[in-house]
Amino acid sequence: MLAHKISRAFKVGLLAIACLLAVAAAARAEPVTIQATLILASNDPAPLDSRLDRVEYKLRRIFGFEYYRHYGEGSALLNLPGESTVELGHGFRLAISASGSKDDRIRTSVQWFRGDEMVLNTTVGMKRSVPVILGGISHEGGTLIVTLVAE
Amino acid sequence: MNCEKAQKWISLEMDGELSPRRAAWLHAHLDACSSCQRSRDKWESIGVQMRKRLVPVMQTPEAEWADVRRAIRNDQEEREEAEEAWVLSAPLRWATATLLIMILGYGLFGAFRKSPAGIARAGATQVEFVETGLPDSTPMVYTDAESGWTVIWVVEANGKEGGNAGT
Repeated sequence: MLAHKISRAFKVGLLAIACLLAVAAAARAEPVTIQATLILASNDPAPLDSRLDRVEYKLRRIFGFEYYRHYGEGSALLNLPGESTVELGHGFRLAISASGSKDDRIRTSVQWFRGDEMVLNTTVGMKRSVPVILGGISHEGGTLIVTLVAE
Repeated sequence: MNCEKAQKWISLEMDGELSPRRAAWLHAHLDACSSCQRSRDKWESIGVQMRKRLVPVMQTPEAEWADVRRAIRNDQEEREEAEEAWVLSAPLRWATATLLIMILGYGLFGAFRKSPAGIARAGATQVEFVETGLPDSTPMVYTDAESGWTVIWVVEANGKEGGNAGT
């Protein structure tokens, strides 16, 4: 009887561990796409760009620049964990590594390069569909902004 | 308790050799098992008939020694059952203690995680780390309350970052 009870408890424990591992494996397997857009903000007049329709009014409210030019974009499809490089154009690129998901956030390390020079290095827990804005780099009379969105 | 053990304990109880704790277990089993209950009734009726005959009982040395051995065996069995009960309950105690430690640990860890040690915790994005490779520049992090967007901004020393930022 004792052996039977211990055996039953052992089986229940194994089942619980198997369920936890299955859930963890499912969470790890879901890939993520990081969409990056390079924007040049300035007060010099620039034509409206439909590619910035969804973000321009918010950027104007947050930063105060009058005009926003679409300057480049790129994306990376990452399995978790995974890493990739996104070429943004004009000599700028992002080295991105996503190491996993926790609390619905994807832990993402981003290094922003201008040529070989690293201008910004950060690690953030990103929520899907919520943009993270990098910026402040002077360029051609304006200021560069990168919007990052995890989908 | 199984029926085999119950049969043995019925006999011991009729001889007055069953401990109160075992008697309680036996009665609980008898309440649920009609087969053992019938068996107990049968033995009782036999005992009643035997007592009616009033046959004097002679206690021989062999019988006395058998009584002693039975008493020792009963006592040993009771100790083993107590040990079984401990073995069964020990994992439960450990599991309960482990669970409590995990709950406490999670609570404390959660409290520390919510502390202002991080650079920015507000909003949907959590910023763990930020640095700039540009000389004489400083990174700045803030969250726009209205949009919930987190901004990581490089403030260059010469003010070239665009004076409108943050206004």
